[in-house]
Amino acid sequence: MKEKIIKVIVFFLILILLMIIISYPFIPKNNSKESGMHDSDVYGILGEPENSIDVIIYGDSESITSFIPLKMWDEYGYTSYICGTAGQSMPAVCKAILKTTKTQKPKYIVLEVNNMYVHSGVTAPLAKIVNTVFPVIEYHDRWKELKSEDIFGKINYTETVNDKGYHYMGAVTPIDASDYMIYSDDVQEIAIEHRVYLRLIKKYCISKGIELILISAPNTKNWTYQKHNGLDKFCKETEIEYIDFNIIAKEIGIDWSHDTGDLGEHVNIYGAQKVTSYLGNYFYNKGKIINHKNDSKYNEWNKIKVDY
Amino acid sequence: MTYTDVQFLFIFLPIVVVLYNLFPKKHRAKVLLLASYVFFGIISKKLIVYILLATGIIYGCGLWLSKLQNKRDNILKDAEKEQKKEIKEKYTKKQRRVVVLNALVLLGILIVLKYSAFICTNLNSLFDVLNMSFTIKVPHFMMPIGISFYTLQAISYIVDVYKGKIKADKNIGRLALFLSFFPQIIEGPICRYEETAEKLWEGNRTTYIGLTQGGQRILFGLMKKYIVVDRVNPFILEVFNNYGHHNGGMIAAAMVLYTFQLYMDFSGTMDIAIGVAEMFGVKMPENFKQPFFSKTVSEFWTRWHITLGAFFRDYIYYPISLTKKCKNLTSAGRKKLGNYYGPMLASTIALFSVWLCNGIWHGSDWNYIFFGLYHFTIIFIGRMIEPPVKWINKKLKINSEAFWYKFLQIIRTIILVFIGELFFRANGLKAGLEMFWKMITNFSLKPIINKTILDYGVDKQDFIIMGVVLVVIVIISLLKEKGINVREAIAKRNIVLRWSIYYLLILSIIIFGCYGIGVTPLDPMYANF
Repeated sequence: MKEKIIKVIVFFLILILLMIIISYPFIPKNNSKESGMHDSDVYGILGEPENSIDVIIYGDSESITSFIPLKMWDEYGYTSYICGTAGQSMPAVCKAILKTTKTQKPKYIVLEVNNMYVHSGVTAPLAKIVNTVFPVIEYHDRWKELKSEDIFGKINYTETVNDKGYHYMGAVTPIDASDYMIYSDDVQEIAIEHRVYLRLIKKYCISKGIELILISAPNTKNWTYQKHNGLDKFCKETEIEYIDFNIIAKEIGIDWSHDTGDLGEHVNIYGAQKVTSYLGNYFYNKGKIINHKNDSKYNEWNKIKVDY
Repeated sequence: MTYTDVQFLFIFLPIVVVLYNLFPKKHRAKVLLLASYVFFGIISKKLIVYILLATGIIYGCGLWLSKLQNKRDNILKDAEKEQKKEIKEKYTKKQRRVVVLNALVLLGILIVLKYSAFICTNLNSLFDVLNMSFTIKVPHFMMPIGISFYTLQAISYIVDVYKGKIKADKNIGRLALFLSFFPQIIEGPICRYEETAEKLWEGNRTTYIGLTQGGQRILFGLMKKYIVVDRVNPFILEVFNNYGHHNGGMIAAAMVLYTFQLYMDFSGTMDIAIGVAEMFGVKMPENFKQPFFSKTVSEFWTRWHITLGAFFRDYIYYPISLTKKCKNLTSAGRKKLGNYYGPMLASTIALFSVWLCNGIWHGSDWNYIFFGLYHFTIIFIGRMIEPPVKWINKKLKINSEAFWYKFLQIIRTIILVFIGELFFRANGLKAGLEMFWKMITNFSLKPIINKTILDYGVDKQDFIIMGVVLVVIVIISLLKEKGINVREAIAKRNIVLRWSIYYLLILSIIIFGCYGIGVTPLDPMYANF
């Protein structure tokens, strides 16, 4: 029996080894879509110079439409990057944080929390782990396009994205927001698995000397006072900073007859400008980030601004 | 959750295997039963009540039959010789009523859930044709997964108890496990009580051989599913949903690829089901036996979905053939038409019933009924022309045992099967007929010559990789036809070669499998029937 158990263990160890070896050719050698990189918008940051980003933002579609990194640069000289994507789940957020902080040491990680009330299931985190350990699983579909440089070439991420992860929404589709965020004492607790994820992210951020901030982007469709209370309660318990733009929407001047492009689900460019200005000012008041505008190392940002 | 999902393969199944072996022998079957209900609950939610109901019904009816049989036997012990026949007949009638009642309830549930919408829609069309201003509201019921399979298993149990082939089970747990065992619940195989019930309830520990052989079988099934089934699906969807935009060549290609896909999906699921059962020490009946080596359509159906064919043979064909009226018809036929064509009258009635039921069983639409009757017609014609064909062969001195003759028979059978599957997959009978007509009148190899066939989600590399899998399947099938058990043959080889084959299989699935971003996996195709 013992011999058979050893046999099974050896079989799987060899399999793991083979999968690690065979993974290398499948890993995209650059971070562009053309090179086969999945979520190339998210991983455009991998092409940025090392340790050059002050703020990295993660989250679902709210994150990519509500902040404009180039505006924050324009107003405050802070470098920021959105590594969120539509429907980004918490396991995907964790994976993105781990991957992006390998080359960047931001002062702040900002997590948009609209996804906090969507269950991510049991297999999603496992899949992310397996995909990370064995890239052949995530990138197996590249078998059709493998070239000799995929086998013998080195990984070199050079692709950068000019909008730094922001997704432009210029349309104006007004919404009546009179029944939005009506005060309530009720609390909608966040899912248990997300509590675990948030605690892990916080722990990771502390270990890296990064400050974690949770935010809720303005959203009349999905956000409620009950959800706000749930997040607020959790953040107080865990001592994580939390900014709910839905609470301060009036204060920052969000006008739902003008600042949304899809009936309140996301803010458009006008709303995003207001959110970005507030967030820039927030970082300014904290005083942890310096203005890089006059730093020659950041000249690229000035050029992109002009292009943009 | 299906058998090819990550949740099933890497979470559910390992947990069940571990729990099953952690428990003492007397409780292992209960672990399997609980796991089966959890599995059924996950995929069918509250519809689990239907399988519980079916279990309760056959348990009660089985005991009722057993009581009647015991009573009959006790009376027969003391009965006079001349009374015995009368007593037997009386109790047979009583038992028959129980069987009929059981079948009516079980089939009634199936008919209401599966066919009521079809029946009502057709009645409404009839009322419309007859200018009757009357319509029936078309009901839409949620149907539990696997109802078509477990209902047949339930009926087979009761009929076998009635026939005295098996004794009614007093253990409701064993009966429940027989009906709901999770690897078989979605697509079968349709097991007989004597094949699996006892073995399942024994709760034997998982053996190394069972685990490894079962694992290999599962891998083989996964290869079919991941490399072929989902890969070819975009092309099939495109052509069958938009056949008006495609010529006969494309339709023919879709017809062939669909048959290929269906075989890979269904036989792949069976490989997984049988492999999982092996892990628990249970040998489930095979459902496929190299069907594409059949020389006639009739033979094909003894090699494809074997357990369904066997069910229809044992519970429809034989009972009808052996009725008094059919027997009389056979006798009369023999006198008038001879020994070959004479018995054919009665057997044709039975054959027709089988194929009508086969068509209806597969789905509630006219194309399924057509599919059944198409096969009936082909098989019937095959039987009718058998003597003249033999006569012609003899006259022309054609050796029907020659390789080329058998090969042509196989090709003919495959073409006939392809046509049947075209109607089977078509979006309704009208679409099936139009596609068939277009295939004949507008056939062209242009899509292959100018490579437009590659524009519908399946490119050249996809075709190559599917071709490789097809070659592997053909080689394995040929070896099986020669009586070589491939798994046993591999098991006898040295460890380096053996493991290399397993690694090659696993890595092929990982690399060439169709999964991940942008892929919508196809649900098990037979689960909908």
